[in-house]
Amino acid sequence: MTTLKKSYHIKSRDFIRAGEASIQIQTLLKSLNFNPKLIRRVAICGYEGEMNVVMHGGDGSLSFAINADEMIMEISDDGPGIPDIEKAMQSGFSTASDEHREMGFGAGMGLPNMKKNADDIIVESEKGQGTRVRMVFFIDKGGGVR
Amino acid sequence: MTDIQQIACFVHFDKSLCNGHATCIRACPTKAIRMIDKRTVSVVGQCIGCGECIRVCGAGAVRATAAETGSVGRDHVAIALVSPVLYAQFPGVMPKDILMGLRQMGFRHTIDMSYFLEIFHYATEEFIDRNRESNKAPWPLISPVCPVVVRLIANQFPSLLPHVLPVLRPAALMAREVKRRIIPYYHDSGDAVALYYINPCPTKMNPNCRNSQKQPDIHEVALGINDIFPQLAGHIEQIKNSDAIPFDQTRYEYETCATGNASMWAMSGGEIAEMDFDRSLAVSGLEETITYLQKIEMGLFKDIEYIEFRTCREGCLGGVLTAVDKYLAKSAVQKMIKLFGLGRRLTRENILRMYEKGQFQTEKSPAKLIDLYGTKKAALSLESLQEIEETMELLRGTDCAACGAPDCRTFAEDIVRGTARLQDCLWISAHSTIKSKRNKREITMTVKDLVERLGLQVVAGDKGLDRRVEDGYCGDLLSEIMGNAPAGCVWLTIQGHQNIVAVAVLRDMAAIIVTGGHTPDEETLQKANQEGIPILRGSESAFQLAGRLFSMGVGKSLEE
Amino acid sequence: MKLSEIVDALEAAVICGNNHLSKEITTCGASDLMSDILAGLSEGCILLTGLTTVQVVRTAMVAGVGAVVFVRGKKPPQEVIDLAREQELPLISSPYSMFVSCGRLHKCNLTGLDGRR
Repeated sequence: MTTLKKSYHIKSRDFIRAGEASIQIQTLLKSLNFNPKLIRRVAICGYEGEMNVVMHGGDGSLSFAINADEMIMEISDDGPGIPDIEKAMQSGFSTASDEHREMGFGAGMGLPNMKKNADDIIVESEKGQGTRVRMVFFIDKGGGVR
Repeated sequence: MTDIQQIACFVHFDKSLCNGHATCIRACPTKAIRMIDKRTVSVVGQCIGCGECIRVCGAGAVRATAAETGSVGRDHVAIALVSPVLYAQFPGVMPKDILMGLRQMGFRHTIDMSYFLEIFHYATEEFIDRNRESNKAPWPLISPVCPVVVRLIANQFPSLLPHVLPVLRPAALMAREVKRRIIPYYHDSGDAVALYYINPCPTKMNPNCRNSQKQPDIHEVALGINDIFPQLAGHIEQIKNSDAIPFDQTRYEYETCATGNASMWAMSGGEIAEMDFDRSLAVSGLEETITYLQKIEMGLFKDIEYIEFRTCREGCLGGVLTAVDKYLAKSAVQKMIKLFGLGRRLTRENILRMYEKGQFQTEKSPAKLIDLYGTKKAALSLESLQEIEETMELLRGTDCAACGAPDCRTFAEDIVRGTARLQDCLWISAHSTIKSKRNKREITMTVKDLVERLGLQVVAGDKGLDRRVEDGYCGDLLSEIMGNAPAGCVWLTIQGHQNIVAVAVLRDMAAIIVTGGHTPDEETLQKANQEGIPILRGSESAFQLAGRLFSMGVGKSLEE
Repeated sequence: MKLSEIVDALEAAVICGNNHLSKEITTCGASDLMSDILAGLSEGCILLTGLTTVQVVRTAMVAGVGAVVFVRGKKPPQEVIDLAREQELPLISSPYSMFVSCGRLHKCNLTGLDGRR
């Protein structure tokens, strides 16, 4: 079975380029004629994940593997880590700084939004040890095609 | 230079002026332009009429497909549909004088857009008001006024078509009104009529395009503002300097009544400035528009109600067919706003009545738009995407466009889709002309000899078995092979995908030997047969085969 | 044949592992793709390769390779050399191409990884 893999580097605090990887993935999935709803869910998860890495310091990477059945996306970084993952998964809880809020972020929607949009999500993190988020998206039997 | 068919309706490439810089190719937002033979440029994909190619060509080789201005009104009744951008081209001149100038040029009627802009304002406010309750159309709503944006959405962001406000745009309202009210009057008296669109951009060029007119008896012509500017400027000078009021007959109210609102429309932000909602945005410029559309597609900006997009920076007064610098024009507009003020003249109740009757519904449904402007390219499969990634690794990755495609990824896609070959890349071709300098022993051995002496299996390219073998080469890193393999070599590798054939052709190899019992892909064999490059198979390892070849004299230099 | 004899046959330079030059080598593998190495029986072989990444050393360790020759005069980056030194894996560099290197070693009666010539 063919598996396409790609990886993108995420630079910490680079707000100008933040989100570029997710947009590239969105374009790629569009060229495959995938269901637009699926594409949107994937793009949201990618975007939120990318923003989290950019905001909280530490460089990171976004990589994905896609085959006919599913798409797996992994976003990992060597940032400060998440001390209490359960709390972070609650809608509304935010660790965004004032600077971030000025830029329109930090509504506390990051992880909960990712959880809502991915078919499955695993978050591994420890304070001071960086973070790894792994998400799975199932592609419909019709190959995701509209 | 060969004659290439132009699929585009909107622009034309002049081969005699083209200097092969490929700037237009890189600027095209739908990557629709390609160049072959390093000088022949043509549109092969979907052109959306944005005019970027016209804008960026340093040699002036690209222009809008427009009509001649000579014979306005000679043997027909000429009606001018005037874009408010025209008023911004003559700082200090009143709009009514500009319209009069047009009439002196030969236009019987000059239709100003103000009336229709106001109708659009009311209809839009009404729609958004109702949508706040029903939420039927998804937020943010997108302005339909710039036709390039609508086509761009149909081509690259079709999932966003439901966001486009389904209200008839002012220019379309204007054309419809003229066709309903003015033209029948002339047809009754047997006069021929021609509609002239005076535009700041090429979006309504070549009316002979498949996507226009249902009424073939109305001749429609598109003129760029820069086409009529010299003549018009001359007439306006006369009007400014004359004391007497020239005889000038107008019939309809909308021939003379430009308002401040109308002139504001020429600027980016002009559409939403006077409308009745807070959460709106105005974006101008092609790159900016695309970036925002990508973000909307991702689900951002849901809290914005209405976004005005213009693909020309600063709005329509930045259009590629304007005559005056956009900042000068902008300042002229700002002065006009101060002069005229921004009041409306039409009443809401009247417009509402027509709205209820569905008078302002768009005529083009999303399905129709996709049919007209949607991408005609087949969707890619995972396998093709994988191939594209692999092909990209062979390329330099500097997006130089020397191959005639806008960037390396698109070139790789063209190769996978079969419309380009690896050899079209100038960098790769250049590499392959570097010859190796070793003194080699003269050996007269053909591929057929190798097959027999080593007991190899011929799996493709048997018409090339008489090719001379001059050297041997081992390796699996394609980029290295492409840079170093000597001409006339037999190449030992375990790689089996079709790029090996392209590489073999590039380096003018005698044959490929796939070692270790590996099997090349079906496509590889087909390609090899096409190119006449023999592919041989052996179960032995590269070490073994290379060793035996070497002992037969292949690849040995004079010193050995 | 001894590793030192291989160094001579390939007119190679020793990058690291000078103290292992008396190693006996009987088989040879030639490849740029590491998965290929892992698929064969590479215990104690000499590996000819054009790939100069750290993966080469790791694969060589996993597969039990005896020594690595970088062909076409290539030299790996320092981190690769450091890792090899740490793992006691000899690295040498030959100016010859992989094809010629195979030819020369074949002449010296080394066999392929499967023992055949």
